[in-house]
Amino acid sequence: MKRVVCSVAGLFILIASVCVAISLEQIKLQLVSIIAHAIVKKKVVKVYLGDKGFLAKTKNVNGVVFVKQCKDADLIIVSKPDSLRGLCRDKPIFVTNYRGYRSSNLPVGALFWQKGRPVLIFRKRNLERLHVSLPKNLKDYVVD
Amino acid sequence: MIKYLLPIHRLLFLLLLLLFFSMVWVYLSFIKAMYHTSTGVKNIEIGQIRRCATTIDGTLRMYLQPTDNLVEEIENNPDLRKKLNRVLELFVSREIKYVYVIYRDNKGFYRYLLDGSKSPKERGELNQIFIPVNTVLWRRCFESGKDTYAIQRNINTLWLTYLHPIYLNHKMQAVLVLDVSMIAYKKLKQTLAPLKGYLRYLLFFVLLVIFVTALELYLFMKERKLGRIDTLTHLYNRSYLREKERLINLDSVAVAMVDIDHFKRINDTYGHEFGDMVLKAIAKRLTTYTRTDDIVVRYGGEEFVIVFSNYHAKKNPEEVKKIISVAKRVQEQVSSTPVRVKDKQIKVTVSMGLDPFTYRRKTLLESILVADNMLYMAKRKGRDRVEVAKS
Repeated sequence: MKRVVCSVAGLFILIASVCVAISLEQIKLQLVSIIAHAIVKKKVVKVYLGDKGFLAKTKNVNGVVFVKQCKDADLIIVSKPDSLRGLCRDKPIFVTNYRGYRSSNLPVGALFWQKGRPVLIFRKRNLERLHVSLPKNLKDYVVD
Repeated sequence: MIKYLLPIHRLLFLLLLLLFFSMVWVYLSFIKAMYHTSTGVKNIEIGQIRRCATTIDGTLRMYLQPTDNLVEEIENNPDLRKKLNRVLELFVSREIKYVYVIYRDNKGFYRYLLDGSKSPKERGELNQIFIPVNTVLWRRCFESGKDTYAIQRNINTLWLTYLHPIYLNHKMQAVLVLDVSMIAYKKLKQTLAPLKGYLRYLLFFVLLVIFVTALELYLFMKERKLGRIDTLTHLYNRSYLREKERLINLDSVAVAMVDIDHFKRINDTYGHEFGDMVLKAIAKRLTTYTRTDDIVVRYGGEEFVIVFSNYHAKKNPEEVKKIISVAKRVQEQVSSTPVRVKDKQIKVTVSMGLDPFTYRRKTLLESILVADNMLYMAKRKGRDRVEVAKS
């Protein structure tokens, strides 16, 4: 119970901390940046955004650079992970809906909005496969 | 600058200020009343939501058998889940945006059990993890087993989240959640908004009137001040003295008349521009060597009047000697240093006529006339001196 409370409080703080700007788009961008740097230990992380509906405008902010092809990316954000081909499938994949997360074993996590609330999940198995160690503040979102 | 205001203006200004503060008070009282009304209406709205939650709970029970494990029963019966989801869907409206049922698993995670959301994107799947924003609310509901609600401050689209525990076999098994949209809140706000707006406009109008009046008063005061100041020397002029006369207590002042010696000659020799500079210099010296309480007036041409204040010869005759010495000191100081204008330096002296017995005069003008006579005498006696009235 304590873990859940902590995790939820953590997510809230995480959200609140990035809510400097009021725009939902900016919150999403900030969250993408946090997730990208948590998974890929690079100063500048290249992100491929396959789900065009997730962000209206892809702006390079906070050490995140959006690339046009998934093969050039360090992190892939898509709605349907199984539609990815070749080398892209081996890269860290994040999905933007729960169905995509549940139906595929590829995603390392999911970030989406449901009922006006943000949902962030990391898949433990895939984190281990990619040898990703999450920062302490994100560990509470890891599920089996 | 306030001293240039007429009493009627002061009264007007005070009345406007009073009006403004009254308006502020009315506005604050209205805000307070609105808060109470809003709370009342909110409670009515919450009461309706509570009744709705009870109705949904009752409807769900019509389909459920008494069980110790609701989660297992729904997990094992997809048709039942579908039916229950459809029941919840019936209660989704513009006001109640989401209706769903959440349970808490063994690890303490909140998970979806049922969801009445129509949109597949919004619908939480069975056992999907649910992350509440307001954790305290959820903890409170699961721990107390009672209906709970909270105003959503971190979700833009929702106003309120209402939690209603679902009991089966006297055991709390899940929580029915009703997310109330901002529409209800907006409706509430819209009811009171016109009144608030009306008061704001009124307050703004009063402020505007105050501003315009204050501006007019300021311009009036400025104009008035300009009319009482000599533009060349920046000393008060004769109009000021005439206006001030009735306020001056003759028992506590002494009047001196000062005139620049051979001023005509200065003008003729060096020109009027130079003469003006000399006038300015002498005026500055007179202001410097007198006290701030004393009034120095350019009476006309090269003549100045000094009204020495805080002088009480009537009560204390010794003060006469004192004021004579003060007047002499002023005259000496003004005359002692040559005036320097545009690389030219000339010796300028002044003569002074002093009436230390102003308290004996009927008017200030009478005292000025006495001082003027003394000045005339000083001129006749050779200038650059002070002549004092004997009685």
